[in-house]
Amino acid sequence: MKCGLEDVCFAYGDKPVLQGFTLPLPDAGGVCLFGPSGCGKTTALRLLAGLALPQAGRVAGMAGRRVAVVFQEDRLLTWCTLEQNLTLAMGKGDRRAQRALAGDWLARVGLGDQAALRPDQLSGGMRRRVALARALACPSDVLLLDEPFKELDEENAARMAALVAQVMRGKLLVLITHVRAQAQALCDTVVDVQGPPLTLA
Amino acid sequence: MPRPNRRVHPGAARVCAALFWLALWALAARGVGQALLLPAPWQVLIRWAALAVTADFWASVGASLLRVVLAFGIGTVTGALLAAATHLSPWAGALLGPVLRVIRATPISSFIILALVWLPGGSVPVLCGALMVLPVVWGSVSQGLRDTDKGLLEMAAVYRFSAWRRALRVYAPSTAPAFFAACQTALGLCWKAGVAAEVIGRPGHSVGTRLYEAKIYLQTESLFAWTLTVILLSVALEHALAACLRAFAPRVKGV
Repeated sequence: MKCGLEDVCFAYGDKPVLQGFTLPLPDAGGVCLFGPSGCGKTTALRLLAGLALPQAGRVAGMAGRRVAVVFQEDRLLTWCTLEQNLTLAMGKGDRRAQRALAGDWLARVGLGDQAALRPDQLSGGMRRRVALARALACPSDVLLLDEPFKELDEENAARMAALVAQVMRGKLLVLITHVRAQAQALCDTVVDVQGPPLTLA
Repeated sequence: MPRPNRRVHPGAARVCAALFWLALWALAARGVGQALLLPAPWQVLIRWAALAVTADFWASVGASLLRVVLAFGIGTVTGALLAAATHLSPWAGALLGPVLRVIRATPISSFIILALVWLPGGSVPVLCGALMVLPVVWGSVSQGLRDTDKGLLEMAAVYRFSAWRRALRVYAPSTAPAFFAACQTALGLCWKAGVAAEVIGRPGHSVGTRLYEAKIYLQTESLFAWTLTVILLSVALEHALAACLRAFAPRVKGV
Protein backbone atom coordinates (compact mmCIF):
# COMPACT_ATOMS: atom_id res chain seq x y z
CA MET A 1 0.00 0.00 0.00
CA LYS A 2 1.30 3.44 -0.93
CA CYS A 3 -0.55 5.45 1.68
CA GLY A 4 -2.85 4.71 4.63
CA LEU A 5 -3.26 2.37 7.57
CA GLU A 6 -2.22 -1.21 6.96
CA ASP A 7 -3.36 -3.99 9.29
CA VAL A 8 -3.05 -1.60 12.25
CA CYS A 9 -3.70 -2.64 15.85
CA PHE A 10 -4.02 -0.12 18.65
CA ALA A 11 -5.44 -0.40 22.17
CA TYR A 12 -5.87 1.91 25.14
CA GLY A 13 -4.82 -0.38 27.98
CA ASP A 14 -6.70 -3.62 27.41
CA LYS A 15 -9.40 -1.97 25.28
CA PRO A 16 -8.68 -2.59 21.58
CA VAL A 17 -9.67 0.33 19.36
CA LEU A 18 -8.16 -0.86 16.09
CA GLN A 19 -7.61 -4.55 15.39
CA GLY A 20 -6.01 -5.25 12.05
CA PHE A 21 -7.65 -2.18 10.52
CA THR A 22 -6.74 -1.29 6.96
CA LEU A 23 -7.58 2.01 5.31
CA PRO A 24 -6.02 2.69 1.92
CA LEU A 25 -5.77 6.40 1.10
CA PRO A 26 -5.09 8.18 -2.19
CA ASP A 27 -2.17 10.61 -2.55
CA ALA A 28 -4.65 13.43 -3.00
CA GLY A 29 -8.40 13.82 -2.66
CA GLY A 30 -10.91 13.52 0.14
CA VAL A 31 -11.74 10.50 2.27
CA CYS A 32 -14.35 10.67 5.00
CA LEU A 33 -14.62 8.31 7.95
CA PHE A 34 -18.32 8.21 8.72
CA GLY A 35 -19.56 6.41 11.78
CA PRO A 36 -20.90 6.68 15.32
CA SER A 37 -19.08 8.46 18.16
CA GLY A 38 -16.52 6.43 20.05
CA CYS A 39 -15.93 3.86 17.32
CA GLY A 40 -12.22 4.71 16.91
CA LYS A 41 -12.20 7.27 14.09
CA THR A 42 -10.22 9.84 16.08
CA THR A 43 -7.63 7.20 17.00
CA ALA A 44 -7.22 6.38 13.31
CA LEU A 45 -6.67 10.09 12.64
CA ARG A 46 -4.13 10.31 15.48
CA LEU A 47 -2.22 7.39 13.96
CA LEU A 48 -2.17 9.13 10.57
CA ALA A 49 -0.94 12.36 12.22
CA GLY A 50 1.87 10.48 13.95
CA LEU A 51 0.53 11.37 17.40
CA ALA A 52 0.18 7.67 18.28
CA LEU A 53 2.21 4.73 17.06
CA PRO A 54 0.53 1.50 15.93
CA GLN A 55 1.15 -1.45 18.24
CA ALA A 56 1.09 -3.69 15.16
CA GLY A 57 0.80 -3.01 11.43
CA ARG A 58 2.03 0.20 9.82
CA VAL A 59 1.13 3.70 8.75
CA ALA A 60 2.21 4.04 5.14
CA GLY A 61 3.10 7.09 3.07
CA MET A 62 2.84 9.74 5.76
CA ALA A 63 6.53 10.17 6.61
CA GLY A 64 7.91 13.54 5.58
CA ARG A 65 4.52 14.98 4.60
CA ARG A 66 3.42 18.17 6.32
CA VAL A 67 0.22 17.56 8.21
CA ALA A 68 -2.33 20.13 9.38
CA VAL A 69 -4.90 18.99 11.89
CA VAL A 70 -8.16 20.35 13.23
CA PHE A 71 -8.54 18.46 16.49
CA GLN A 72 -11.84 17.62 18.11
CA GLU A 73 -10.98 20.29 20.69
CA ASP A 74 -9.80 23.69 19.44
CA ARG A 75 -6.36 23.48 21.07
CA LEU A 76 -5.65 27.20 20.70
CA LEU A 77 -3.04 29.00 22.78
CA THR A 78 -5.28 31.11 25.01
CA TRP A 79 -2.38 33.42 25.97
CA CYS A 80 -1.69 34.29 22.31
CA THR A 81 -3.71 36.45 19.94
CA LEU A 82 -5.64 34.87 17.09
CA GLU A 83 -3.01 36.14 14.65
CA GLN A 84 -0.22 34.59 16.73
CA ASN A 85 -2.09 31.29 16.90
CA LEU A 86 -2.00 31.19 13.12
CA THR A 87 1.55 32.48 12.53
CA LEU A 88 3.04 30.13 15.14
CA ALA A 89 1.65 27.15 13.20
CA MET A 90 3.20 28.38 9.95
CA GLY A 91 6.74 27.56 11.04
CA LYS A 92 9.79 29.51 9.93
CA GLY A 93 9.40 32.24 7.34
CA ASP A 94 9.07 35.94 6.73
CA ARG A 95 7.14 37.24 9.72
CA ARG A 96 5.51 40.09 7.88
CA ALA A 97 4.25 37.77 5.15
CA GLN A 98 3.01 35.30 7.77
CA ARG A 99 1.13 38.04 9.60
CA ALA A 100 -0.47 39.16 6.34
CA LEU A 101 -1.46 35.57 5.54
CA ALA A 102 -2.88 35.09 9.04
CA GLY A 103 -4.91 38.29 8.68
CA ASP A 104 -6.16 37.13 5.31
CA TRP A 105 -7.24 33.75 6.67
CA LEU A 106 -8.92 35.29 9.70
CA ALA A 107 -10.85 37.52 7.30
CA ARG A 108 -11.84 34.50 5.24
CA VAL A 109 -13.32 32.80 8.29
CA GLY A 110 -15.13 36.04 9.23
CA LEU A 111 -12.80 37.16 12.03
CA GLY A 112 -10.67 39.69 10.16
CA ASP A 113 -11.25 42.52 12.62
CA GLN A 114 -10.52 40.35 15.64
CA ALA A 115 -6.93 39.31 14.96
CA ALA A 116 -5.69 41.00 18.14
CA LEU A 117 -8.17 39.23 20.42
CA ARG A 118 -7.33 36.12 22.41
CA PRO A 119 -9.26 32.87 22.02
CA ASP A 120 -10.87 33.11 25.47
CA GLN A 121 -12.58 36.31 24.30
CA LEU A 122 -14.45 34.39 21.57
CA SER A 123 -17.49 32.14 21.44
CA GLY A 124 -17.13 28.39 20.84
CA GLY A 125 -18.09 28.70 17.17
CA MET A 126 -15.59 31.52 16.61
CA ARG A 127 -12.80 29.51 18.24
CA ARG A 128 -13.67 26.62 15.94
CA ARG A 129 -13.26 28.88 12.94
CA VAL A 130 -9.85 30.01 14.23
CA ALA A 131 -8.76 26.38 14.63
CA LEU A 132 -9.87 25.73 11.06
CA ALA A 133 -8.13 28.87 9.77
CA ARG A 134 -4.92 27.72 11.47
CA ALA A 135 -5.03 24.36 9.71
CA LEU A 136 -5.87 25.88 6.33
CA ALA A 137 -3.34 28.72 6.54
CA CYS A 138 -0.46 26.45 7.42
CA PRO A 139 1.50 24.98 4.48
CA SER A 140 0.59 21.29 4.34
CA ASP A 141 0.27 18.19 2.16
CA VAL A 142 -2.31 16.44 4.31
CA LEU A 143 -5.38 17.86 6.08
CA LEU A 144 -6.79 15.81 8.94
CA LEU A 145 -10.05 17.31 10.13
CA ASP A 146 -11.85 15.85 13.13
CA GLU A 147 -15.40 17.21 13.22
CA PRO A 148 -14.19 20.59 11.94
CA PHE A 149 -17.65 22.15 11.70
CA LYS A 150 -19.04 21.24 15.10
CA GLU A 151 -20.43 24.18 17.09
CA LEU A 152 -20.97 26.08 13.81
CA ASP A 153 -24.36 27.18 12.60
CA GLU A 154 -25.50 25.92 9.20
CA GLU A 155 -24.46 29.03 7.30
CA ASN A 156 -20.97 29.17 8.81
CA ALA A 157 -20.51 25.43 8.38
CA ALA A 158 -21.26 25.81 4.66
CA ARG A 159 -18.83 28.75 4.37
CA MET A 160 -16.08 26.81 6.13
CA ALA A 161 -16.72 23.71 4.00
CA ALA A 162 -16.31 25.88 0.87
CA LEU A 163 -12.94 27.10 2.18
CA VAL A 164 -11.80 23.54 2.86
CA ALA A 165 -12.84 22.58 -0.68
CA GLN A 166 -10.70 25.43 -2.08
CA VAL A 167 -7.63 24.53 -0.06
CA MET A 168 -7.72 20.76 -0.41
CA ARG A 169 -6.91 20.76 -4.15
CA GLY A 170 -3.83 18.58 -4.67
CA LYS A 171 -3.81 17.54 -1.02
CA LEU A 172 -5.03 14.52 0.89
CA LEU A 173 -8.00 15.30 3.13
CA VAL A 174 -9.17 12.87 5.80
CA LEU A 175 -12.40 14.09 7.33
CA ILE A 176 -14.41 12.91 10.30
CA THR A 177 -17.95 14.22 10.43
CA HIS A 178 -21.40 13.13 11.53
CA VAL A 179 -23.13 15.05 8.76
CA ARG A 180 -23.36 12.93 5.60
CA ALA A 181 -24.04 15.92 3.37
CA GLN A 182 -20.74 17.50 4.46
CA ALA A 183 -18.95 14.20 3.86
CA GLN A 184 -20.37 13.87 0.38
CA ALA A 185 -19.72 17.50 -0.50
CA LEU A 186 -16.03 17.38 0.40
CA CYS A 187 -14.95 13.78 -0.17
CA ASP A 188 -14.80 11.47 -3.18
CA THR A 189 -14.84 8.48 -0.86
CA VAL A 190 -17.01 8.04 2.21
CA VAL A 191 -15.95 5.08 4.33
CA ASP A 192 -18.67 3.87 6.68
CA VAL A 193 -17.16 2.53 9.86
CA GLN A 194 -18.33 1.07 13.14
CA GLY A 195 -16.75 -0.18 16.34
CA PRO A 196 -14.85 -0.35 18.56
CA PRO A 197 -12.74 -2.02 17.42
CA LEU A 198 -12.90 0.06 14.26
CA THR A 199 -14.11 -1.91 11.25
CA LEU A 200 -15.63 -1.11 7.89
CA ALA A 201 -19.41 -1.16 8.13
CA MET B 1 -35.67 40.90 61.42
CA PRO B 2 -32.26 40.16 59.83
CA ARG B 3 -29.53 42.69 60.51
CA PRO B 4 -28.14 44.45 57.44
CA ASN B 5 -24.75 43.12 56.39
CA ARG B 6 -22.42 46.00 57.22
CA ARG B 7 -19.17 45.83 55.29
CA VAL B 8 -15.92 46.92 56.89
CA HIS B 9 -13.33 48.60 54.67
CA PRO B 10 -10.35 46.18 54.43
CA GLY B 11 -7.86 49.00 55.07
CA ALA B 12 -9.72 50.10 58.18
CA ALA B 13 -9.87 46.51 59.41
CA ARG B 14 -6.10 46.15 58.96
CA VAL B 15 -5.40 49.38 60.87
CA CYS B 16 -7.74 48.30 63.68
CA ALA B 17 -6.06 44.89 63.89
CA ALA B 18 -2.59 46.48 64.00
CA LEU B 19 -3.69 48.92 66.71
CA PHE B 20 -5.18 46.05 68.72
CA TRP B 21 -1.93 44.04 68.68
CA LEU B 22 0.18 47.10 69.42
CA ALA B 23 -2.03 47.91 72.40
CA LEU B 24 -1.76 44.33 73.62
CA TRP B 25 2.04 44.47 73.23
CA ALA B 26 2.16 47.79 75.15
CA LEU B 27 0.00 46.35 77.93
CA ALA B 28 2.17 43.23 78.15
CA ALA B 29 5.34 45.37 78.29
CA ARG B 30 3.79 47.46 81.03
CA GLY B 31 2.80 44.32 82.91
CA VAL B 32 6.31 42.84 82.65
CA GLY B 33 7.80 46.18 83.62
CA GLN B 34 11.33 45.44 82.38
CA ALA B 35 12.51 46.67 78.97
CA LEU B 36 15.25 44.02 79.08
CA LEU B 37 12.62 41.28 78.83
CA LEU B 38 9.94 43.01 76.77
CA PRO B 39 10.38 46.60 75.59
CA ALA B 40 7.31 48.69 74.77
CA PRO B 41 6.49 49.48 71.12
CA TRP B 42 7.55 53.12 71.40
CA GLN B 43 10.90 52.13 72.97
CA VAL B 44 11.54 49.87 69.96
CA LEU B 45 10.50 52.65 67.60
CA ILE B 46 12.84 55.14 69.25
CA ARG B 47 15.69 52.63 69.08
CA TRP B 48 14.89 51.90 65.43
CA ALA B 49 14.91 55.63 64.61
CA ALA B 50 18.25 56.00 66.34
CA LEU B 51 19.70 53.07 64.36
CA ALA B 52 18.28 54.26 61.06
CA VAL B 53 20.37 57.44 61.04
CA THR B 54 23.67 55.55 61.33
CA ALA B 55 25.80 54.56 58.34
CA ASP B 56 26.33 51.10 59.83
CA PHE B 57 22.57 50.45 59.75
CA TRP B 58 22.37 51.10 56.01
CA ALA B 59 25.58 49.18 55.32
CA SER B 60 24.16 46.16 57.18
CA VAL B 61 20.76 46.45 55.50
CA GLY B 62 22.35 46.86 52.06
CA ALA B 63 24.68 43.88 52.51
CA SER B 64 21.89 41.60 53.78
CA LEU B 65 19.56 42.73 51.02
CA LEU B 66 22.23 42.03 48.41
CA ARG B 67 22.85 38.55 49.81
CA VAL B 68 19.14 37.70 49.85
CA VAL B 69 18.57 38.99 46.30
CA LEU B 70 21.64 37.06 45.10
CA ALA B 71 20.52 33.88 46.89
CA PHE B 72 17.01 34.24 45.52
CA GLY B 73 18.26 34.78 41.98
CA ILE B 74 20.65 31.82 42.11
CA GLY B 75 18.03 29.53 43.70
CA THR B 76 15.29 30.55 41.25
CA VAL B 77 17.36 30.19 38.09
CA THR B 78 18.94 26.91 39.21
CA GLY B 79 15.58 25.52 40.37
CA ALA B 80 13.90 26.37 37.06
CA LEU B 81 16.77 24.95 34.99
CA LEU B 82 16.88 21.76 37.04
CA ALA B 83 13.10 21.40 36.67
CA ALA B 84 13.50 21.63 32.90
CA ALA B 85 16.33 19.08 32.99
CA THR B 86 14.45 16.59 35.21
CA HIS B 87 11.35 17.01 33.04
CA LEU B 88 13.21 16.40 29.78
CA SER B 89 15.44 13.54 30.90
CA PRO B 90 14.30 10.61 33.03
CA TRP B 91 17.98 10.07 33.88
CA ALA B 92 18.32 13.60 35.20
CA GLY B 93 15.10 13.05 37.16
CA ALA B 94 16.38 9.83 38.69
CA LEU B 95 19.73 11.42 39.50
CA LEU B 96 18.67 14.81 40.83
CA GLY B 97 15.18 14.15 42.18
CA PRO B 98 16.29 12.42 45.40
CA VAL B 99 19.01 15.03 46.04
CA LEU B 100 16.51 17.87 45.73
CA ARG B 101 14.05 16.07 48.01
CA VAL B 102 16.86 15.61 50.58
CA ILE B 103 17.71 19.33 50.37
CA ARG B 104 14.03 20.14 50.94
CA ALA B 105 13.88 17.92 54.04
CA THR B 106 17.24 18.94 55.59
CA PRO B 107 17.05 21.49 58.44
CA ILE B 108 18.56 24.83 57.49
CA SER B 109 20.82 24.82 60.59
CA SER B 110 22.62 21.73 59.24
CA PHE B 111 23.37 23.54 56.00
CA ILE B 112 24.55 26.65 57.82
CA ILE B 113 26.98 24.74 60.04
CA LEU B 114 28.29 22.65 57.14
CA ALA B 115 28.65 25.71 54.92
CA LEU B 116 30.58 27.54 57.66
CA VAL B 117 33.13 24.72 57.56
CA TRP B 118 33.56 25.03 53.79
CA LEU B 119 32.97 28.70 52.94
CA PRO B 120 33.82 32.23 54.15
CA GLY B 121 31.11 33.75 56.40
CA GLY B 122 29.77 36.23 53.81
CA SER B 123 28.86 33.57 51.26
CA VAL B 124 27.14 31.21 53.73
CA PRO B 125 23.82 33.19 53.75
CA VAL B 126 23.84 33.24 49.95
CA LEU B 127 24.33 29.47 49.73
CA CYS B 128 21.77 28.71 52.45
CA GLY B 129 19.19 31.11 51.00
CA ALA B 130 19.65 29.60 47.53
CA LEU B 131 19.31 26.09 48.96
CA MET B 132 15.96 27.07 50.50
CA VAL B 133 14.68 28.57 47.25
CA LEU B 134 15.91 25.88 44.88
CA PRO B 135 13.70 22.90 45.90
CA VAL B 136 10.58 25.09 46.18
CA VAL B 137 11.03 26.47 42.66
CA TRP B 138 12.10 23.08 41.30
CA GLY B 139 9.03 21.35 42.80
CA SER B 140 6.54 23.91 41.52
CA VAL B 141 8.03 24.28 38.06
CA SER B 142 8.30 20.48 37.71
CA GLN B 143 4.62 20.16 38.62
CA GLY B 144 3.74 22.97 36.19
CA LEU B 145 5.64 21.22 33.40
CA ARG B 146 3.92 17.92 34.15
CA ASP B 147 0.53 19.65 34.13
CA THR B 148 1.08 21.30 30.74
CA ASP B 149 -1.90 20.55 28.51
CA LYS B 150 -1.06 17.42 26.48
CA GLY B 151 -3.45 18.59 23.77
CA LEU B 152 -1.41 21.77 23.25
CA LEU B 153 1.81 19.76 23.14
CA GLU B 154 0.30 17.54 20.45
CA MET B 155 -0.78 20.63 18.54
CA ALA B 156 2.79 21.97 18.82
CA ALA B 157 4.14 18.64 17.54
CA VAL B 158 1.77 18.55 14.56
CA TYR B 159 2.62 22.12 13.57
CA ARG B 160 6.33 21.44 14.11
CA PHE B 161 7.04 24.09 16.74
CA SER B 162 10.79 24.33 17.33
CA ALA B 163 12.04 23.36 20.82
CA TRP B 164 12.54 27.04 21.64
CA ARG B 165 9.04 28.00 20.45
CA ARG B 166 7.53 25.09 22.38
CA ALA B 167 9.36 26.20 25.54
CA LEU B 168 8.40 29.85 25.13
CA ARG B 169 4.86 29.54 23.80
CA VAL B 170 3.53 26.38 25.42
CA TYR B 171 5.56 25.38 28.48
CA ALA B 172 6.42 28.84 29.86
CA PRO B 173 2.86 30.25 29.92
CA SER B 174 1.51 26.96 31.30
CA THR B 175 4.10 26.91 34.08
CA ALA B 176 4.10 30.64 34.85
CA PRO B 177 1.35 30.63 37.55
CA ALA B 178 3.08 27.83 39.51
CA PHE B 179 6.47 29.52 39.06
CA PHE B 180 5.20 32.91 40.26
CA ALA B 181 3.53 31.38 43.33
CA ALA B 182 6.72 29.46 44.13
CA CYS B 183 8.79 32.66 43.85
CA GLN B 184 6.63 34.41 46.41
CA THR B 185 6.81 31.52 48.87
CA ALA B 186 10.53 31.04 48.30
CA LEU B 187 11.36 34.70 48.92
CA GLY B 188 10.07 34.50 52.51
CA LEU B 189 12.07 31.32 53.11
CA CYS B 190 15.15 32.93 51.58
CA TRP B 191 14.98 35.84 54.04
CA LYS B 192 14.59 33.56 57.04
CA ALA B 193 17.44 31.25 55.97
CA GLY B 194 19.69 34.16 55.00
CA VAL B 195 19.28 36.01 58.30
CA ALA B 196 19.65 32.76 60.30
CA ALA B 197 22.91 32.06 58.46
CA GLU B 198 24.09 35.61 59.18
CA VAL B 199 23.32 35.19 62.89
CA ILE B 200 25.43 32.03 63.02
CA GLY B 201 28.12 33.03 60.51
CA ARG B 202 28.32 36.70 61.51
CA PRO B 203 29.76 38.28 58.35
CA GLY B 204 31.08 41.86 58.83
CA HIS B 205 28.08 43.91 57.72
CA SER B 206 24.77 42.16 58.09
CA VAL B 207 21.44 42.39 59.85
CA GLY B 208 22.06 38.92 61.33
CA THR B 209 25.34 40.04 62.94
CA ARG B 210 23.58 43.03 64.49
CA LEU B 211 20.83 40.74 65.80
CA TYR B 212 23.49 38.51 67.36
CA GLU B 213 25.27 41.49 68.96
CA ALA B 214 22.00 42.80 70.35
CA LYS B 215 21.41 39.42 71.98
CA ILE B 216 25.00 39.20 73.36
CA TYR B 217 24.84 42.71 74.89
CA LEU B 218 21.27 42.17 76.14
CA GLN B 219 20.01 45.09 74.03
CA THR B 220 16.46 43.82 73.71
CA GLU B 221 15.25 47.07 72.13
CA SER B 222 17.90 46.71 69.42
CA LEU B 223 16.92 43.06 68.96
CA PHE B 224 13.33 44.11 68.34
CA ALA B 225 14.44 47.04 66.15
CA TRP B 226 16.57 44.80 63.90
CA THR B 227 13.76 42.22 63.74
CA LEU B 228 11.43 45.03 62.68
CA THR B 229 13.96 45.94 60.00
CA VAL B 230 13.98 42.36 58.68
CA ILE B 231 10.18 42.32 58.55
CA LEU B 232 10.03 45.66 56.72
CA LEU B 233 12.69 44.55 54.23
CA SER B 234 10.93 41.26 53.65
CA VAL B 235 7.59 42.98 53.00
CA ALA B 236 9.24 45.57 50.71
CA LEU B 237 11.00 42.87 48.72
CA GLU B 238 7.78 40.83 48.44
CA HIS B 239 5.99 43.88 47.02
CA ALA B 240 8.87 44.55 44.62
CA LEU B 241 8.76 40.93 43.45
CA ALA B 242 4.97 41.05 43.01
CA ALA B 243 5.36 44.23 40.90
CA CYS B 244 8.06 42.56 38.78
CA LEU B 245 5.91 39.47 38.25
CA ARG B 246 2.91 41.61 37.32
CA ALA B 247 5.01 43.43 34.74
CA PHE B 248 6.57 40.21 33.46
CA ALA B 249 3.42 38.03 33.35
CA PRO B 250 1.88 39.50 30.18
CA ARG B 251 5.18 38.97 28.33
CA VAL B 252 5.27 35.32 29.29
CA LYS B 253 1.65 34.98 28.26
CA GLY B 254 2.16 35.71 24.63
CA VAL B 255 3.46 39.04 23.37
